[in-house]
Amino acid sequence: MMGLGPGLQSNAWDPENDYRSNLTYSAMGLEDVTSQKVEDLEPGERVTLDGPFDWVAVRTKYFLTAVVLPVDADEEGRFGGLMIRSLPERYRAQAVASFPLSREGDFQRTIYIGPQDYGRLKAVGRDLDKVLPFGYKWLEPVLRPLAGAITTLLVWMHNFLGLGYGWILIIFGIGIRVVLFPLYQKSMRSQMATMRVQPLMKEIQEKHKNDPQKLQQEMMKLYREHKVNPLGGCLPMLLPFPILIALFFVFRDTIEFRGVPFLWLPDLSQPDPLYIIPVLMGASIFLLQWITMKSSPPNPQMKMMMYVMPVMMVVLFLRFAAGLNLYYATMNLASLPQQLYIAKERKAAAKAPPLGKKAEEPGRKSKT
Amino acid sequence: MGQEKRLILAVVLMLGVVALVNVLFPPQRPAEPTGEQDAEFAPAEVTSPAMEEEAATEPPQISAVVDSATVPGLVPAEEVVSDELSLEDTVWVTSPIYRLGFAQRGGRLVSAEMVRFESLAEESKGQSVQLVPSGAENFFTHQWLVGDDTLDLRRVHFDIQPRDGLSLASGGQPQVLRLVYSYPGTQFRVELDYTFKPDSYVVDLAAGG
Repeated sequence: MMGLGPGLQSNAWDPENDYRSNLTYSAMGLEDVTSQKVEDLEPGERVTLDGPFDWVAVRTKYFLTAVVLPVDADEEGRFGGLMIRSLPERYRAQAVASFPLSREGDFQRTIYIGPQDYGRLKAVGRDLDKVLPFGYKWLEPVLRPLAGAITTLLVWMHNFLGLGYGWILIIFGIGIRVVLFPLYQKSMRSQMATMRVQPLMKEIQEKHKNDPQKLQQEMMKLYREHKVNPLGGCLPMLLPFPILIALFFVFRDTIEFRGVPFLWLPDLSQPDPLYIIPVLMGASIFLLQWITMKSSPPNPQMKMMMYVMPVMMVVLFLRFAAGLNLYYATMNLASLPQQLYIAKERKAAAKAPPLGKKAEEPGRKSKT
Repeated sequence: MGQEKRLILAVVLMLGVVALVNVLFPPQRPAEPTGEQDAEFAPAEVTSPAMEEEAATEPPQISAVVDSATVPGLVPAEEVVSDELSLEDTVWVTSPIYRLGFAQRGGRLVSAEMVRFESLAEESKGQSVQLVPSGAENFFTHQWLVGDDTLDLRRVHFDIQPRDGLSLASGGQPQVLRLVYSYPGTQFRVELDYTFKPDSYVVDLAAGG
């Protein structure tokens, strides 16, 4: 058996919160990670995590100590279990990992003592990188590689460009918007095309309201004739969200952003103490919606959302990492030129004569 | 679907995503332990069922050498406490990225400074990150189960070689810190070889009886 210590010492801004939220013993089973937070143990309570385990570890938010079965070792040498006993002192426990000795009393282990650096943990093997939590397990297959790829890219940009992470996030936000430019453009044009054929769609719906099969055929024909993809407007708009969610986890646990200052921000992984970035993010959402509204037909609901949405987003993002807000605000602001261009196109499209018989009737022409 | 409806849909989706992050992804809930909750921590009983089975059916060879009747070291930890406790010399391993301290008593890790990271905590702000809590007793200590007895190495005195510790330079070769426990009057010894690589937080441990 090997002792894993009484937990790790926190060196975070708020050690109490770090201990409460993050001080955890974890072990990698045959398929998944099993964890036990020290906070959830009553003083003196004993808990046994049953193996077999490839590794056992204790972690805080950013640092980790792990004992790992070497990659080339016989799997019979796996850990049998991890026994944890909470101590009377708050956020302290004693943990002991059991594993079989060979007949000669020999064994090998790989020990990791250091930061939770995705690349370094991955390099240790035995899925030690899975010690980093990513919310619900069913999202892990998507989020873990995405967050890993984003972290790797940000670190590479930081090393390659020699810039601080604040500037890297700004470049990354602009880059994401540039990459999404053609898709977003296509999406907006698809929306405009859909709007343009809407009078015809209504006519078809009225004409074939009692014949669903015919209605579907006619609608498909209409989409084909006018090259409209009813889903084309939505999907590209959803693409930034997986990146946003992955970044949430990247900023929550990634050592690279720990204690990294930027302008007035003392730490990109902590909320903005002056709330400037979240407010800027909210303002950017307002601005984008205002441009969209100005180029669209008057709509009271849209006007209401223009005011409500930014406020809600600011409230929701207020306590998120400043880096996440910085990325999101940058991405929104970087989409302003495209939004202005689209608004111009939308205005021009609105001036074109609408399709459909009813639309041609006097007084039914939409205003711009 | 009209543009305004699309916008509302987009807004709802955005809020849904944010709500997912806030509400549905709380810090990972620890999995319910499935094992025996009442496991005692008395040395001889700290084993998983698999371990007990193995120990009962296939004792390690060292059991022939180490016998509780003839080797007084093979007794519960409390009885091992002796004047060895005063031997608290710490041997240091320094590298460009950390500074680790191993105590002779139990060969345990007593300090792990991450020299490239500054503590953000108020009481230690500006100092290197220290991972080992003050007074930590059993970081990387060992207890070896031998039959029904436990060879408790947590408080025995290890001879650490080299006594001056190790100093690893960036780009240099890996170096070995050897911790040896020899029971007086017997041939029984435990060797723990820690291999440190510069610029890596990975340490290889090879042990032998």
